[in-house]
Amino acid sequence: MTRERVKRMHDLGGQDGFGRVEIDENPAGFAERWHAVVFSAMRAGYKAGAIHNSDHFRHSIERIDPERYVSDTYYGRWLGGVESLYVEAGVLTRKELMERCAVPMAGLRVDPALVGDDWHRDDRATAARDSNTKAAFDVGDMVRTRRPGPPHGLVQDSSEDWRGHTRLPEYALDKIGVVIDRHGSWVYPDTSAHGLGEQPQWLYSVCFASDALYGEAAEPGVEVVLDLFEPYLQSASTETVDE
Amino acid sequence: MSETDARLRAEALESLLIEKGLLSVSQIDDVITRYNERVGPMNGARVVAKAWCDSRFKARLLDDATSAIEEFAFEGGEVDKLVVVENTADQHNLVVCTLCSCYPWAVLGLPPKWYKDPAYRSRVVREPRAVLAEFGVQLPAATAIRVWDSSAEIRYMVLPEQPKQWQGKDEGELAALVTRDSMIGVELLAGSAE
Repeated sequence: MTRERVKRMHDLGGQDGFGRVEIDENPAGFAERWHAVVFSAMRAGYKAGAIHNSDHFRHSIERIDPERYVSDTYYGRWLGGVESLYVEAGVLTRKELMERCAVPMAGLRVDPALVGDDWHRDDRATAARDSNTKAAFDVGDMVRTRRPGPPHGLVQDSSEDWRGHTRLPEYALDKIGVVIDRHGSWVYPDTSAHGLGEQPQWLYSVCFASDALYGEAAEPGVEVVLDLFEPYLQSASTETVDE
Repeated sequence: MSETDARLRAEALESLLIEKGLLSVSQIDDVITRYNERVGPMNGARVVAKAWCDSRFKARLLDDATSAIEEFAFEGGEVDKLVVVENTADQHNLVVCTLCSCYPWAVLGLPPKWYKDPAYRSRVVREPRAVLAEFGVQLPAATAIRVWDSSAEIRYMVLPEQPKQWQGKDEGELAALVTRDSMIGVELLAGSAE
């Protein structure tokens, strides 16, 4: 029996079946107050110790049931992620959330003075880091993308089953592109999302011709650029370009 | 989850976080005011208008946008590093995040719903010409397209081409005319490709 690759529902690039883009006349900002509530609960999660970093938060959304992921709205997905993280951190219990759902909101407004109003200032800290390693690639280098597998320290059945957080989309896996920019070192999402430390890695902008990604199905004259961490890349300078 | 269920669940979360002293109504009100009134595409539009009027600023913007926009002192996180890419008659750029919905909040505010939906995220890296046509943008076959998939913490904004008929307008007038969609790369201002 061949093992079917685990579907990562959030990894949407290049997939079929989602139809036309529904262009909404969406005004700037939040369309509904509850969207802002979810947004604020996300921000508060950092201070409460429930959300460790943006990779940790993104991974909570990626763990949502695949069917729900596509049927839910953006803030519905955020809500699912935020609830999970508060529960996992022990700040809230699932029981509390379930019970409170049945209770109307009346009378719960507390004095704003009880909560510090300085939180806008602690906007997310930068994920850029100083490099103490030499970059493996230069602008102009040909590279082939690869899945580095589970980071050291995480127990998994096998690398094919690895469902952890990563920022290499499936559609750009095992493809050849050219490095067009180098951005220094950044916190590595594949470890940071799982509490395995920042392990900063060099980040490159890699440009792929559309036909290198999709073959004959590609539209003419199209390139796609992705920002990829060094562990996702291996040298392809000795490979022929046309696949 | 229906919109009503989601709203009720969000309110349940809100009331629990308020009780535990982790969140306040005034903080939520502040977030709403901030993203509905102060952090939005009008910020990116000011950057674009300045680039059109000041060629030295434009050169700095295309070279190092993160530093170039410091003088505007925009609030709004999510931009560790900003890269601005220029649209011309020969080269069209557009921006997506296929893995989630990364977007340059500080210059464009919160993303529109379509930017976060599966249709745009799945298709624009495969058939950008077809997706652009759905936005009413027909590019000549000779125009090269580059799609920027925001897969790390670099954020991208498009510097749209200035329509010829807008020459002679001042920076303030131009800033009022630049649209959000042109800075994502799914709109040509005043049909500027024609």
